[in-house]
Amino acid sequence: MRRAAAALACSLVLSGCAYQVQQVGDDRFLHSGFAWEPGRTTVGDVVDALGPPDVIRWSPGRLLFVYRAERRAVASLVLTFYLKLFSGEQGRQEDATLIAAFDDRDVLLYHGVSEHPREDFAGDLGLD
Amino acid sequence: MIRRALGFGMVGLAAIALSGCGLITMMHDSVIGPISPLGRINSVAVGSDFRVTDTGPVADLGGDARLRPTPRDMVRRIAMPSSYWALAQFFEYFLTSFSFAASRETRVGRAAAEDPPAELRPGVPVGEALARLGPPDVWVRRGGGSFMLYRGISDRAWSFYVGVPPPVGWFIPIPGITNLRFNYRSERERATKLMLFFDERDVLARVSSSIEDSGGSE
Repeated sequence: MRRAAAALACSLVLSGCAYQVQQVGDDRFLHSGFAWEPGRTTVGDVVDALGPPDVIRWSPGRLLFVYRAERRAVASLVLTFYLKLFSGEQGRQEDATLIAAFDDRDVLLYHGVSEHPREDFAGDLGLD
Repeated sequence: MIRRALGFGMVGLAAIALSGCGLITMMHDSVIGPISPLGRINSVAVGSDFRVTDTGPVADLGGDARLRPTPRDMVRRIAMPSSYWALAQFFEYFLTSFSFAASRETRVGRAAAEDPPAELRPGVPVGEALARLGPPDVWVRRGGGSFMLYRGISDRAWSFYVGVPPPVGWFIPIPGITNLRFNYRSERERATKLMLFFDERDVLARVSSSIEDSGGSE
């Protein structure tokens, strides 16, 4: 009986709400804890740790690996009384990118990684 | 006789008023179109390229199409086979909008669906790799060796709906009953990648796959 009441209360609290989350790309590169050592790390080490990159750019003397991940969340509230009386939407999109540059010998020159997309529910709802 | 003519006239006027560019349609779209559950009727009724999306039926309203009684591509909408598909989608949209749980999976590209062939072992010449996998998405050739990248897309989505769907709520005589609902939707798109490294003699040196790296759980 209590559970039914709790479920009913939850459905009342969440009335009219919708929550959508979309994730694009493999975000393993953000969690791997890979030790980057310019001058020692090779292409093989990176591919072993993070898998093949999403994008490859090559020019004489430079090889660029790009890894990407994207997270998009949308929370909305729509109240109706036969017609839609109120409609509100809160959205957030965050991208994470890792770039690693190698020389002709496939040795790491430098790398850079952006921040991890936050997965906090409060932020998705615009409460932070 | 006069009464009959007046009757036909009234029916004709009503038909015009209720048409896609009629007075009632225009009033509906202008006054309550943004919040109406029917959406904007005029653009769907007389616009071209009619199709059904996740948010309902849509059509593109050109700059000069607003007062047209019929869509510019009327013949295509009625007579072409694609129009039947759009019509089926139209009904499917209203039928599937009642679904309380839904899932979808889409795979694009070879690498998304299959593990790398077992024959692709170190020592295989580049020609055999090309014959088995086809042209790569990226092929970088350098003096000290080359590598190929094959990519595929795996898209998975699922959703659930708790409460009273809006179309059902229209038939329940309790004001605001459709507010008792919650919708959750999750979508994940991942690229499955296969990378082949060749040495300077164009012989396969190593294979790396995102499918293997993730335990084949893409």
